[in-house]
Amino acid sequence: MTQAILIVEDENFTRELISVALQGAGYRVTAVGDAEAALRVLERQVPDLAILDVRLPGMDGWDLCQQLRARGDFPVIFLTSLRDDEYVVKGLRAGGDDYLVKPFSPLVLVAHVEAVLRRTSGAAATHPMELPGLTIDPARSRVERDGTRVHLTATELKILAALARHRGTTLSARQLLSDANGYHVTEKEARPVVKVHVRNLRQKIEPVPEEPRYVLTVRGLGYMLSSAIAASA
Amino acid sequence: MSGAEEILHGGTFREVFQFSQGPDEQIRARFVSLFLQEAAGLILEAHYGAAEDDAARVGQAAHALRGASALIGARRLAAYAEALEYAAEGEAASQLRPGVELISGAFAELRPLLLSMLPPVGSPS
Repeated sequence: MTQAILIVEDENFTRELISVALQGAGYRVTAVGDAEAALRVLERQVPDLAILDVRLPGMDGWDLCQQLRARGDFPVIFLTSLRDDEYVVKGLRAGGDDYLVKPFSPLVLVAHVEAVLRRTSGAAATHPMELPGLTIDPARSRVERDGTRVHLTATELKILAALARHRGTTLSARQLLSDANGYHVTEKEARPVVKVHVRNLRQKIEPVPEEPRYVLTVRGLGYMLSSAIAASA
Repeated sequence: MSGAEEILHGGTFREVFQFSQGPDEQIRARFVSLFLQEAAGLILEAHYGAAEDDAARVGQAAHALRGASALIGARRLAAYAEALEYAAEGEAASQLRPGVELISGAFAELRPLLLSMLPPVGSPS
């Protein structure tokens, strides 16, 4: 599945250059010029990784990082021309997973992105995720609705975990089945299978299964876990 | 290091466009054009900042110019922009005019070197 990268960099040349480099490496890139625009993007879609320039107009990269941390569990790489050690320490303490000093080669940046995603993907896959009224803990194979344990099948749990990892992003039936069970099937083959799993999942986790608030159908495209529900993970 | 290398460091310039698929003429031309446009805009912004006694505006433009210049290998322009950025933190905008002139001069030296990297107009893409 293509991983999504959010870039927040106010300088056009640098933003464009790293966007093209990351797209060339196979990532889906959303690039914006300030923190406010980044927060608007996050309302629609949670990325797999964010790259933040420290010195941004308005809200700076440190504060933005803390805001991002409150909205989703994904790694952050700081990008800056500030070289002093104290800035590195501040960046890492602000919740950054890595720190890259300008100037840098785009190839080095791509290598950092790959390394951070490799390092954090295992942790993210097993990290408990909290939504209002719903807790998903893949590591313990445990889901709770309003504090009461809900018993899901292994596939239902994997589908829910995949949706939670990509909260706000639409996943096709093929992607869900591939992510859940490693099956390589066509979308046409996957659709009826996933439809049944999602129906059963909704019966177990949705307060009103006919009017789902967590697992939403995106007509013609697939399913997504609602991003309108604020995460507290 | 030669004077030309100080204006545009060939190694850095080549490296910055080596994406996973290797150097690409079209990508290089696109980014050289974008850089020239961006840098010219930022230098103009610094001039306006100095003229209007707005040191923060000069500093912000110099900061952005430093990052982009260093990335593309424009070492002299990056060094002057860095000096101007730090000067803007502690000096009145009126004192920044010589620094703004320096970045203008460095850009004037750099521009023909970068233009020479672009494919001739009308050449097949």
